[in-house]
Amino acid sequence: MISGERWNAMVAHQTASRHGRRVRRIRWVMALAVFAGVTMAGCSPQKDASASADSTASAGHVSVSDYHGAVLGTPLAKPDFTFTDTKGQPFDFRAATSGYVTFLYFGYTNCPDVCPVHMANIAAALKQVSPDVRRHVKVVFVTTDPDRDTPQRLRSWLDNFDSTFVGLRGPMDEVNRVQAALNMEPAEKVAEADGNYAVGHSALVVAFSLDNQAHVVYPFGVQKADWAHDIPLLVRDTSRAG
Amino acid sequence: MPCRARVASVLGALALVSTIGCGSGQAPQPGGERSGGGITVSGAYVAALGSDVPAGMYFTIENSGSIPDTLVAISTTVARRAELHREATHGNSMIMAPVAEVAVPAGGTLRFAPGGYHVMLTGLTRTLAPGDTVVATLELRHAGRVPVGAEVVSYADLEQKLSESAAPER
Repeated sequence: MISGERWNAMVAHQTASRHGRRVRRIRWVMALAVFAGVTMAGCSPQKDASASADSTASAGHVSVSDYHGAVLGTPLAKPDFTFTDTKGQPFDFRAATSGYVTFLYFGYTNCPDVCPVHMANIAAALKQVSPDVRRHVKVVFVTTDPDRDTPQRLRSWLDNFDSTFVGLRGPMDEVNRVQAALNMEPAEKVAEADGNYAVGHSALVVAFSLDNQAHVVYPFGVQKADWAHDIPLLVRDTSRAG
Repeated sequence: MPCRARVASVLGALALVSTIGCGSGQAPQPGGERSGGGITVSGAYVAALGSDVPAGMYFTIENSGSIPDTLVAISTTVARRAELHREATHGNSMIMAPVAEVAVPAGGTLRFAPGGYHVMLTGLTRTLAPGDTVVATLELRHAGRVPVGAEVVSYADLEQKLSESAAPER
């Protein structure tokens, strides 16, 4: 387990250094090492530019080392929950995403840094893949700040990225229960000035494959090219299809 | 202030006697590079969505002098509040926290980048569109006020713009 001070030193080094990009890659890889049971296969984003031509990638078995995301040592089942979408309708996560490659992320709209970068990168990558791949993917964003993220605010925020992204609101104890099932820490409010607050939340995007299990996760730092590379693999990976 | 002028002239003299690993001929960013003493700010970008959500500002500060400096404040007319933040990691969670100041080491570089340091802009006075320029003023303890022009970009373009502006070896 890496101590808080060590993390802070790594962050300070990253931002104080000209080689921030390389350290950032190492940093997010190491973040996954802390995430219990993670296998370090497939963590070289420079790898295999030719395989990013998704329209020519063939369906079939995908080796774990092909993914740019971090492959979990133990797959995670889709958590069972029903939250409310931005139209006010109940959204049963397992039922509604069954048979789709599903990206699940927990964040909030008052986050100016991690959340919009993650969502923008996914949205951009989804524009790069073929329509045939695209239609097999769903993106689900669960707010960790339901007090401020009203359905309207959540919808308009998500529409900046992709109007098909699903926005969900649920009671915080339930949201934290779902996060716990995915080995994530509970969301935590931290007060700032003038009654504002920040919300600590997992910065991982969990990718559920067609077998409704999560085999690959994407920490903060994953870039557009990595998403564009992995999305077709997730869709075509019949070794992890239901 | 006389004291500040004296410090500034010492810094200026020191800036001529260049020290370690600094300013490697990085191309000036459009409207983005400003110098104050040994301090150069470049690669400044603002990523924004609507006017009712916070925006993020990022940049690179290089200190080519031999005196350590500190970024203590930032202001801009497009936002009522501009606060320095940094992301901290606990396991796989991240949380941003305000920071009062950030060191810019002598002969070193401080990068504000997603997942690390950012300036959170709230209370935006107008909607910012990609291609706009945001003028901000950085305040450093020794170098004083350093104005900078930041280009507004979409979040999808942010990481690429930052890496292009920071990678002279490309």
